Amino acid sequence: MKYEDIIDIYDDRGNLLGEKIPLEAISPLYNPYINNLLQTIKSTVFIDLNKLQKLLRSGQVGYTTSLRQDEVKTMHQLDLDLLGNAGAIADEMTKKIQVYPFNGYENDTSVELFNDNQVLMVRVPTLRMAISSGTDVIFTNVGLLMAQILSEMFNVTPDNKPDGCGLIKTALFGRYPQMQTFNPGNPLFGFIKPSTETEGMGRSFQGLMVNHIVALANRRTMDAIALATIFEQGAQFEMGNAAGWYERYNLLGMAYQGFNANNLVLDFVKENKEGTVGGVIRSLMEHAINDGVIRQKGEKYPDILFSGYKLYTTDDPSMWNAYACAGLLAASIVNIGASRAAQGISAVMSIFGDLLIFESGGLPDPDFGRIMGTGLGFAFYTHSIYGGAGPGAFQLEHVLVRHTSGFLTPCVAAAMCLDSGTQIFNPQSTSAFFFKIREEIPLFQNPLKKIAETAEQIKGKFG
Amino acid sequence: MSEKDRRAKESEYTYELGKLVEKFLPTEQERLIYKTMKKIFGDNPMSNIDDLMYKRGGFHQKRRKEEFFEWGRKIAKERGIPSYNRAVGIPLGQRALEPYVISGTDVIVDYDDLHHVNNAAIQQMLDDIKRTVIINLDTTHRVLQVRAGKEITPETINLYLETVQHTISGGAVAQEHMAEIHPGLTSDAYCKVITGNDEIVDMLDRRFVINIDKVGFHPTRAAVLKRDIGDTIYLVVRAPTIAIRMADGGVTYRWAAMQSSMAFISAYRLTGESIISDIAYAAKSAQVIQIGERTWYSRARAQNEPGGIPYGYFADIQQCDDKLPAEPYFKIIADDLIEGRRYMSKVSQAGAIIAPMTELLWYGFYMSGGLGFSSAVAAGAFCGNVIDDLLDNFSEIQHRSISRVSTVPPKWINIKFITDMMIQAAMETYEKYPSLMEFHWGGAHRISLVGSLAGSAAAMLTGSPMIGQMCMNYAIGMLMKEGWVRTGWAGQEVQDHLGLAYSCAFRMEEGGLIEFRGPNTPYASYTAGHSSGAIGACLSAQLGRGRAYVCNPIIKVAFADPDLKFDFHEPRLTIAKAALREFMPAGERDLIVPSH
Amino acid sequence: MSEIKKKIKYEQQFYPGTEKVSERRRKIMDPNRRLVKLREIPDDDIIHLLGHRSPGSLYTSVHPPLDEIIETYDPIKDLVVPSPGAQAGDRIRFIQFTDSFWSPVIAPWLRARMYFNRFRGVDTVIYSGREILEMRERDLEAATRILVETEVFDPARTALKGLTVHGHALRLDHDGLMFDARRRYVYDKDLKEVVYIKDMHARMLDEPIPVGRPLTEEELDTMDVTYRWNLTPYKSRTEILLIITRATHFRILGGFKPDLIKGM
Repeated sequence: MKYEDIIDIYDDRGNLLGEKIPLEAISPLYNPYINNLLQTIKSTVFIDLNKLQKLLRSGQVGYTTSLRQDEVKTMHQLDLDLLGNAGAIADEMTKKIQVYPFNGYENDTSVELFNDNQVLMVRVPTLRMAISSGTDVIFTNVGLLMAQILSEMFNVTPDNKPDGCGLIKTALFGRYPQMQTFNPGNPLFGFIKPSTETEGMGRSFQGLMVNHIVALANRRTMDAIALATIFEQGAQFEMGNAAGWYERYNLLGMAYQGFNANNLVLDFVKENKEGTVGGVIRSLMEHAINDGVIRQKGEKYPDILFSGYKLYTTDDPSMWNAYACAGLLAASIVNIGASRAAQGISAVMSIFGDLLIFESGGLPDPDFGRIMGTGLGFAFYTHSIYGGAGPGAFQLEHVLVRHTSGFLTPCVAAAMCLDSGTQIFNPQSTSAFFFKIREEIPLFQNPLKKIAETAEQIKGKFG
Repeated sequence: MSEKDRRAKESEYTYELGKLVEKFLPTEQERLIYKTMKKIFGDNPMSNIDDLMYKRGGFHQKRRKEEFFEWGRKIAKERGIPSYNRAVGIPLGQRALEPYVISGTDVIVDYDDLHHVNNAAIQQMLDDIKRTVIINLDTTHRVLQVRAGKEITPETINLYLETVQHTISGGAVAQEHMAEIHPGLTSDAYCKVITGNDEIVDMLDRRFVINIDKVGFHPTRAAVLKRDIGDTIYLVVRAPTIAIRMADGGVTYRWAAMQSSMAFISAYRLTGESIISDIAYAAKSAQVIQIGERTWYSRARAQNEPGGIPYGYFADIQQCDDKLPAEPYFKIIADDLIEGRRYMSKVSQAGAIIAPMTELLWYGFYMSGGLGFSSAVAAGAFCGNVIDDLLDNFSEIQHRSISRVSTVPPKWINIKFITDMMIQAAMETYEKYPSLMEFHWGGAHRISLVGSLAGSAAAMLTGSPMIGQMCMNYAIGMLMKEGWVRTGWAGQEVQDHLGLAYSCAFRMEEGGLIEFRGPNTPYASYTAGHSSGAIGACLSAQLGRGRAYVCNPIIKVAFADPDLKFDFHEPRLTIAKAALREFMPAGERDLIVPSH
Repeated sequence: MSEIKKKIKYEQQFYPGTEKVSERRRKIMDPNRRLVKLREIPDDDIIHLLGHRSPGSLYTSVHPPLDEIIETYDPIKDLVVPSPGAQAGDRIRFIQFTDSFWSPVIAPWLRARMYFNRFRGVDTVIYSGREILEMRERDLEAATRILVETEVFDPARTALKGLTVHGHALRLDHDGLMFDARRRYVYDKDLKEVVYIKDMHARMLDEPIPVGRPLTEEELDTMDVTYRWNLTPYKSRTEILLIITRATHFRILGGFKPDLIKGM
């Protein structure tokens, strides 16, 4: 066992879900549920047959606007009954995308229709993923196979419908490659984005918007936090932010902030359920001192200053950070839970670190200042003319929220869960589809429970 | 003695500093800030009451605003659609619309003349950088010798150089019936050679050479530059201003590649053979030095645009330090206060390039559109003699108290006392001079100034840009914040809080040399006000160590060229000239439009 | 058998420093300490100044009261007590203060620290001159009462400015008031008070609203929350400088490798 830390995982009612779990049992590397979730996310792609059919019928392809999407009216139309033939399309797709079981890989292809047979969901077999250098295979292969299927099924060929061939390609892929990206709201889409749209190495798992995660959690706060943590930390591990020195740091943050380890977050919230962010700071200091995470540095000057002000120190900075991040989350819940308006989340991110520094005698604030810095920019840009939108409309890799070790966006997800309807860009409007995905893929349901259960299953291996 | 008696009482240490000001007023009145603020506001610069507030006649108190007003009416009449219109928006001019003094000069300008769209010199500064690219001729020469069996002699090089002046301006050399550009439109386009080898310089036509010994570098600097550039022959290409104004900085290296290849074809009598491909590759890709590289997709710009220029290159582009000897600062300041002051004054002068290029043009224009806010930051950098005054104090402190120390080890905890001293002095200056506070009316000015001071001073002493940046972050996000409990506009301290953790980190988007961070680094890409500090830290570290350049000697020499339109040696004067409508930029289209 | 350590009850220390500026900062941040009321402003006047609704009118809702919304199962939502405004479904409204640089009784960063210690359900953005506070409308009105009636408001040098905020750094006018391009407030020489003639959004008020007399220079000397070169020089603030040095050093070292700061 690399690390000596042992945690208990509790749910949002304070029930014990998993006991004496070694820290590594919740690592993205080893936890079977987290593994499975990350694999699923990167291998799954969707085709919205309803939208595709509409685009082909209207010829309004190659647009670039996010809302309305109707500024382009080409002279081409194809009237294809995709919805009526959805079953046949699914069968064809299965035939074309599947593989033989080979070299230890199963044929774990899965092609399903859901949402009233309007959406095709394709899980690309792991063998195809394994022989690819990246994840774009899910867009390229599935999209192009779809084009082939349409051509075959509806007899669209260069001889009889040359523009129709062009229309099918543009409907599926937007203006790519004339543009680097697909259209907004492209009928072919995944949990992650195509690599040409992802800015920065290792950030693919951060391609999801906060609202989508909230929808996947059906707006249950602790579940949204857990899912957001998984996506974030998947990316943090891939980016190398959790390598070596930082591994325990990130794992502890995941556990205490993301998975309510030792019921810490819930304790903070309970103690301040009618309180303020300042009250959470007090709770944080109290728990940290009582749990031995920090201690008074000394009994006299210069460790106690002339004003009576005490300096604190920590013998375990990574654990202190985990506590501080748990406090940050609790403060978010307490503040947004009071106002039920998610817009205040950026303010909590900005101020929490500042209050903590001056309460603890200079001990580092969450993530050594990264949260506070990112939070200030997040606050400004979500409240000004320079371009923002509401907090839920940001992808985890958006330039405004990406500069931390992954401990900021779970708080934003929590805030969007608690919002009672003040946001225009709320999950219901931006992420209706993802609510349905949750119903369709049970994997996203009860994540905390599943993390704890699977961790229990493997905990004996870290002896 | 009891515990109570042993504790020092604060009252024993306080004294009426306010009253002391009166006693030392004659000394205070000698101060540059005192004189400048008095000139600008015409009032006691240390009074915090403005008796004429609201009573200056609104926007009519400024000639330039009245001019805008008249033009707004004229345009509305001519085209039938209103334009500039003082009847909408806030009632301007309730406060003093004070004139601006360009630091280090006597030139007084209207604040609006410093808006980048109104100032032809600032535009030319940007254009001169965008249109410059540097090609390495050695590879091409080798291709010619090895693959084409051609001899490379001084005569052939000179012929090539003469030919390339023709092609770079849009003249045809190899093919019939190519449309050519009117040379009058591209008279600012030319190419020159840089090399560190004196023998080669002697053999080449001197019109086509940037002679490192003769462009104004101090001899000690010239020697280092020549040594570090070596025997390679670099070609500095200036594409026409009009071309990059039509397209963007990304056209420069393509223009350079095409036109220099055509010149090779002509001068060496080549034909459409495969060697051409090697030559073009050498010119376009293999060893071309761009000033800026492409930016991330979400801020997508081509090469040679300001967002893609790293901090270290900005520090090398400026030429204000060219006449300083390549000696470490601490040696100079120990013996010679006047010479040491020159070092600091050069750092402040460089602000007239650094702040406009980054804050004004990149953040304030490319990224933000039409608002004139970042003129404020730029104006803070080169107007009002403010930073000159404050950095000058630093020299005196150095000379008197620290000059016994030869070098300061780059350890933040040991150097931070300098930051404390400098920044507290700056803060006190603002408090003593309400007129200065009014002049720097926004947190943006003060943060930028404090950042530059902190970054430059620390880097100067330690020779470490990294320490400079740490001190900048500490100065803004901690020191200034706790003194005044106010800093800048809401997102301005983003960089300061995460910047400390990011300093030396080994993470994909964190850490790395300061010289190779820049506006395209994600965490800096949306937060303004820190470029002056970061670039100032690079520049000061160079001076602190006694180097001749920050990181790229070829770029250093390329912008020393006296034939550039913008004078990178005297940026303040050049901007001042443009504000007075006395600067003629390149790239004008008068030849092809009706007279107007 | 491990020793059972006695659990302590932690009391906040808020801020370091021995002299009056630090003491004032602590007082303003500490929710257990009452801020001294300096003036009384009628409820209706506060609503007029805010300018979001007229006195007596109903609060505009942005969604039904929480009791009437059927939300998906979420124990956290049941745990945290919503504020009265959230409970009722009020829209979010704002108040924005500008604090003069000259001997302010409160300044932007201190406002944020105060808001998060004293109020629930806060959204604030900190600028150099101004600070905006957004809350559910009735919660905002309750907070406004504290923010304008107590010692954190100086009628001359603290201003309600919803738009056109320029002026914190300017010299004062000949009445000693902070600059306001929109002339929302004037000094009434007869009343010897600052009077608002326009609301926060610079719309003319039907009746001028007096907000009290300007604080005198002597009072401001004791109430100033910033360090001043001639009164409380910043360079003597050893405690604060120690804390921020420590914080900076930890961030630099810990940002590089967390374990470097063990026991420091």
